[in-house]
Amino acid sequence: MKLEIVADRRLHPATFLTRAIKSLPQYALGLPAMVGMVSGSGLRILILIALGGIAAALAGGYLYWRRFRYGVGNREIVIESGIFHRQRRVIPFDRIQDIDIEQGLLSRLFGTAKVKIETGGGSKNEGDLDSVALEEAHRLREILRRGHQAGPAEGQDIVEAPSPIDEPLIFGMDLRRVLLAGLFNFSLIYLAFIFGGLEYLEAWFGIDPWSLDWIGPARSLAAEVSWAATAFAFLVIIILGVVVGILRTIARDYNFRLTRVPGGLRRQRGLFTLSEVVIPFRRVQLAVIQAGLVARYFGWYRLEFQTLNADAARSGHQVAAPFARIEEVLPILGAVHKATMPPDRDYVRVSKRHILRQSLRWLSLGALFILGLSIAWPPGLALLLVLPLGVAAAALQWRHHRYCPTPDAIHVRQGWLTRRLWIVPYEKIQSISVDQGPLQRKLSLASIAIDTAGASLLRAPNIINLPAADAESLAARLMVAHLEARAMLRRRVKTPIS
Amino acid sequence: MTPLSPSQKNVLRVRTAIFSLILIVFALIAEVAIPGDLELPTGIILGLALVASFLLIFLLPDRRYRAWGYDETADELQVQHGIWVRRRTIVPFGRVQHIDVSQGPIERHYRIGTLTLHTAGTRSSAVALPGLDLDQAERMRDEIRGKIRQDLV
Repeated sequence: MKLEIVADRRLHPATFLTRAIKSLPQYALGLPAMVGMVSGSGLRILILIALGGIAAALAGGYLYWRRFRYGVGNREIVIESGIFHRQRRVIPFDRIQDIDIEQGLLSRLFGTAKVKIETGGGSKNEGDLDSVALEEAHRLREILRRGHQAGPAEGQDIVEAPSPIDEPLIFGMDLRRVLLAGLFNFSLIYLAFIFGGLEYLEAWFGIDPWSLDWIGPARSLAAEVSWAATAFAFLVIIILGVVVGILRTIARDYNFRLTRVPGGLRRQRGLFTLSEVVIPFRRVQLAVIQAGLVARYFGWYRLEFQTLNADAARSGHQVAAPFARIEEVLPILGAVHKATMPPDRDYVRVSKRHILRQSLRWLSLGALFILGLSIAWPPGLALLLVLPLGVAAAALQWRHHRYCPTPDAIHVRQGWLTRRLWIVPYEKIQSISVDQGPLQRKLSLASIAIDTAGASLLRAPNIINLPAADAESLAARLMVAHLEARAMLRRRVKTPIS
Repeated sequence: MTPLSPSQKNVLRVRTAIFSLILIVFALIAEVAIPGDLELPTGIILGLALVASFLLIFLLPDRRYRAWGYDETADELQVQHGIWVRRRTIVPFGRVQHIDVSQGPIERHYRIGTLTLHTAGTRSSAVALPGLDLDQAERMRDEIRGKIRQDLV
């Protein structure tokens, strides 16, 4: 281990070109400013500037490739990079959490791939090899994965990896399914982005997308039958939303394949950018089955696993099945951890006083806001009529918030618009909190927060507004179950597997 | 629940006293700087600052101190705190990644310290227990360290 590892490998030569091409937009961003500076000096200067930008991009790409080397030792990988500021990074195999292979459109053209080595150290791009030949990427991943799985900290025996073709398919989506999923991915948010982009156009090129001048005669027509124009615009927006949803889904989930590999699941998907991720079983912290109101009605669900991942950019949630029947979801779940799905009647509701507390919170905050608003704008007072909706929302929330401690995991269900079922195996609990706010003390309620590794702060398997005594006993019960599950795991690891 | 070391009350009080001092200085500046034609009664800002300081120094530290408590069992540490939202966090020792004992300047003067348990979780990734006698904190740290299990992720 003392032996210095020589970083003697270079990236794929095409990196030089792909990096240059990818960095071109950066130069293009500076272009309008340049144009402004030299405005009036003619086309020749402009072409010169553009050529200069391309030359700079090419030089940058070349230098990056020239100065980037890596080498693989027996227990660690070394990466040397940096054009001016040289950096030598050593990543021990047993620190590697994830190895992803990603192929963008350009990479596919050149037969290269980006290898992302993640160590859970928090920062992005801790060990990216962008990019190497596809075969080299696969070879590296095999070496790195075997290296780090052979570590002493593992609880599983690793069998030699079979070639990807033999891997049993656990879940896949054909084009029809992807299209259907796209229909449910109706999204208006992306429209907002598109319109935002149009505003940008205006700022840059003086085209005003909002003035209807460029539609010409349509405008005068629209002025005459404005209600029809509104309806038409509405229809266009809806259709755009559906189309955008379908296109996005195809781009992301085309040829979705979830296969079983030793010690984990391999997910491949994507139309333009092929991405490949391995979800190791032992890094799965919990599972979430979720479905929107409409999808639920038609019986479609989405399965995600929360994996231990300190990299906040990826939020630690990996989709295992974006759009699946519940009969398809259960086998995937079963492959990862023992999961008993209790019948509906076994789920326990939280206290009915939940409705009271949530309503009081909503009513007081809402009333304060509306009263404040009405000082500035008196008609705003009419908004008070909306407040009772909050009570209805609280009641719906209560109806859909349930939990069930099963023999292996705690199940928590919440949400009406989007319903989520969290399945947290007891051994994966990091800590448990029992919280009680002032209003909850008055109503003798308490909430339980179950903390897990890689959880997001916004959405977590929390059980809110239990009767205070139940919260106490449930917390104690979860802790006992946790300790028992850990003890069992330790016993299993200690007995040698032959 | 075991209460914290009584010295913690003093630590909290010194902290709020420093804060109050800054508050009073700002109130004094405001008294001088705000022009007279606003028709604010003389001394109202300073008066408010003094009332707030009184509450901060004489009432808040006691209440905050009383809200804290901890319980160490064979397998877990329970920490409770909070006046407004009361939170009790249970950390099983098996999930502790690493432990810190830290001391600020005020804490050093009173020979107490803060024990912090770090887990891989998100919301309670660092559970802090302040106001322990320093040797008590160090004893607990060594005890818990012996129970940390490195064998499983």
